[in-house]
Amino acid sequence: MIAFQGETTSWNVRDRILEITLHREPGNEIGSRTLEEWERLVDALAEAIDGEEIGAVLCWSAIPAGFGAGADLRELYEKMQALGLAERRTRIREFLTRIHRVMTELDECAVPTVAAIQGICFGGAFELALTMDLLVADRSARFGLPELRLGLIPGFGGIPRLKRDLGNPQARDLLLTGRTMGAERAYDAGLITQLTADGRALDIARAAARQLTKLDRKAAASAKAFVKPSPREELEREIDIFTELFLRPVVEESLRTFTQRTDALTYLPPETP
Amino acid sequence: MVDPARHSSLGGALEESFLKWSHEICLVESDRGREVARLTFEDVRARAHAFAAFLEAASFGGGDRAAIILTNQSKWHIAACAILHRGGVLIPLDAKLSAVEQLELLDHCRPSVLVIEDHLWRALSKARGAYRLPERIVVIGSRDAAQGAVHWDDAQRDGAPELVMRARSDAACIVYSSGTAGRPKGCVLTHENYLEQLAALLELHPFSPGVRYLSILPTNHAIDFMVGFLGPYLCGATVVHLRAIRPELVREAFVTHRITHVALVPSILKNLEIALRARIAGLPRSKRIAFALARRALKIASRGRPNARLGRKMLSPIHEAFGGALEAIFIGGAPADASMLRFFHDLGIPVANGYGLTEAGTAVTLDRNDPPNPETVGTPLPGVEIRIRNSGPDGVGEVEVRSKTVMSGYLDDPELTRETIVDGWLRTGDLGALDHSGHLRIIGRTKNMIVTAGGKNVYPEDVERAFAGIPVQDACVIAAHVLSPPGTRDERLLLVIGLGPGGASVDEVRRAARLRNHSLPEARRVRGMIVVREHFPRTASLKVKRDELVEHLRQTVDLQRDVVDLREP
Amino acid sequence: MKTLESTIEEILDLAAAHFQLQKGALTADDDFFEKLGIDSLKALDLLTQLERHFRIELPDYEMQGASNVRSLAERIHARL
Repeated sequence: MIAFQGETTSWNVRDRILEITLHREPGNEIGSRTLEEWERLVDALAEAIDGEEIGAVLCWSAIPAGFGAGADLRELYEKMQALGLAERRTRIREFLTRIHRVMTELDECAVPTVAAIQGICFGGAFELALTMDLLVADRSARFGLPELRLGLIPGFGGIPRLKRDLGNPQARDLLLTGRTMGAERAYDAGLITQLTADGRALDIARAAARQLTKLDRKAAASAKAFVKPSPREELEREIDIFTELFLRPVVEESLRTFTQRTDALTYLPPETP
Repeated sequence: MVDPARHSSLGGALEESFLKWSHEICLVESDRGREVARLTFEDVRARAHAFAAFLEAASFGGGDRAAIILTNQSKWHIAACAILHRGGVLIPLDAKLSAVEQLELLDHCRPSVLVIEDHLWRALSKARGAYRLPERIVVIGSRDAAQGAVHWDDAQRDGAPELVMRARSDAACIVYSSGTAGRPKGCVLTHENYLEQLAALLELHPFSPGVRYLSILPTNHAIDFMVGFLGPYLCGATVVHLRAIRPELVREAFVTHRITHVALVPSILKNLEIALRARIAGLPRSKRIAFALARRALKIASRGRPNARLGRKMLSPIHEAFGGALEAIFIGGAPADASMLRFFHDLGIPVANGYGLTEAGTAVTLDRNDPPNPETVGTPLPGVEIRIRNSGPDGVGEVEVRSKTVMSGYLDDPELTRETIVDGWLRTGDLGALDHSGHLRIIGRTKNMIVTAGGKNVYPEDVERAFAGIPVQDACVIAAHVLSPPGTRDERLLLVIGLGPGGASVDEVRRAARLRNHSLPEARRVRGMIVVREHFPRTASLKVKRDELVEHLRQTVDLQRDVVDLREP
Repeated sequence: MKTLESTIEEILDLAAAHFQLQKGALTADDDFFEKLGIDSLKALDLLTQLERHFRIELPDYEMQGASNVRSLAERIHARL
């Protein structure tokens, strides 16, 4: 029986569903600890699939404020501070490669996956959601990719996976203006497939997950691989592009500003000057 | 090799091993093909002593109990060595149990020290409720998880902790065997039990420096504890731990570390068999023919005794997939299918099939593969006596064992101990028979045996074996009379099927079952089939809980309506 | 045909109901971020309420850029 109680993430198997709970206060910010636990997660996932213990995966956040605010920018800034340019390049590439590996394993895993989303779903958290086969969101959900506000592009596979799911014009709007998109709009755009009342996303997602476990595993795995292309080459390029943008002084400046500000919109990084 | 006969305690044997093998590699930790840590015997001794010194300062000594709940890693070994050095009683618990199950066991054996991994401690703390916990908790992993406990890094002291000598008859470990819920069966195993077991096993399978054992089974499991911890240590061999047990990482590890020995349970070996068969089937035609010829030649050259050296020479593509250095696979924990064992033997990979139970150490019988006898579980190990109690005309009865590896008893359960060890013989609860060459065949569990109204003994596991291969998730044989109203004499045997998500139709299943049913002798044939939608209830070690299944059927099945006849064509 | 005044009224009513304010606590010329003392999460929440109520799409920068309720109403009104 696989179960894990982590600092940022926990998981358990119930009714042949691997339930992943994100619970890092205050906003499920994705940092080094999260990455370590997610690497464990994908190992446990592979074992569970191999042992035929599960028929579906369900991912949800126990933080009422939302599914997630994105990467842990504070930690990112602090870690990079101590390093010279060459080391920064190596470290950021390493981090991205590791996180890409996790995201790709989730994206391509042999059982169907569903996420329950409430509240904010920004940046890295949105990129995690984009690896899931089904998105169930309640009416409070808001989706955004605010990375351009920092002088960056989404670095956890966001653009290649967003292109799969959203029309290009919508994708451009989100990326280039840094705005957020509400649940109803996301539903109309086809990004989420079930829209629920506030607070009901989890149980509706569970019902969907139960249904997913009922159908033939092999057929589901084949159908999933067939219908959902994995943008491997673009993902490689994304790491390159992100790294080049990241090493610029303006990004360091934005991160510094972000870590120091205390005003209203801390969940949306400030726009670069 | 350190001679177990010259020691009275595991602590002493380990200390001699550390000093004798000091520069040999003891432990290797591997993570995704990279080596993360490499410790010599000297290194492990130093670390074990540092923790033992902490235990000493905490007044932990002879006879005191310490539990370990960790996934496989070097600190498992280090903690265990420290506990045994201090003459403590080691309680290795299963990290895969639920938090509540672990709390119940801890409450039962009440250790004064617990060494536990961070995420498991978090889960335990959450579920704690009113359960008592050991006074000293040592947490391995992230520091913030160590709230209310001591972090491993802070549980180290300088100095030379005293090796606490123990008598052979003193308890060395308490190992829980999977009993029924509510009555934990803690087997108290003595230093003598372990030292005798080591002597017997190492006589048949001597390890030495250069042996590289891949530790996949959890070390609290009796097999890994022996062949993946104590055995290698006494012989100066190396143990390789993997961070994650994923099939592709395991295959990679075989190659990267040139593994010579490994212990598996039958289900994992089955996976390997499937992968190998696929590999063979994927060979181009000419190579496949060449392979088949080579396999036949190997059988002749090795005279039917699996020979790894010859196998490597003659069937190199297969052996290369295993890193080219594999000498033997130990297998146990559940019955192994004879055809699967033959498959590996034919490839020149010796599989050491055996039978044992926690109550008697690790193994009581082992197949010497001389020649292999895969329908049996082999012959008794040196020093072990086996007899069959109350055997019927078919020679089948309860297997009893007498040996110096038999436990001293169940913890705090003198009544159950008296029922289990009678006049010096351990009643295993398994049904079996000895053949003329002294090989033991295990049929099933005594408590599963069905006595028909006509007074015949039927062993459901035996009948179930005939139905292996039908396209369903679960299949169990029960006696119809457990479902009938009391007083009726229903002699039928029924096959209970759990369809699973495979997608086979009831008709297909019926056809497949009918065919196999007819290959059974009349007395063992099944009269009808019941189809169940839910998953069969299983224990932590994945054995079907027959009582629960029968209870479920009693409440949901109508014998008149729900039985599909298997007799009509 | 909706007027700007009616849009302003609707926004004030919505804010009053959502943030549990007394009627009249918020007026058209107030900077609602300052007056309500709302943090970023509540701001996003408000955005969602406005979008649902008026059945429009309102990009965040429009709401953030509005200095008071009146100018916010203008931006919303422009999308009706």
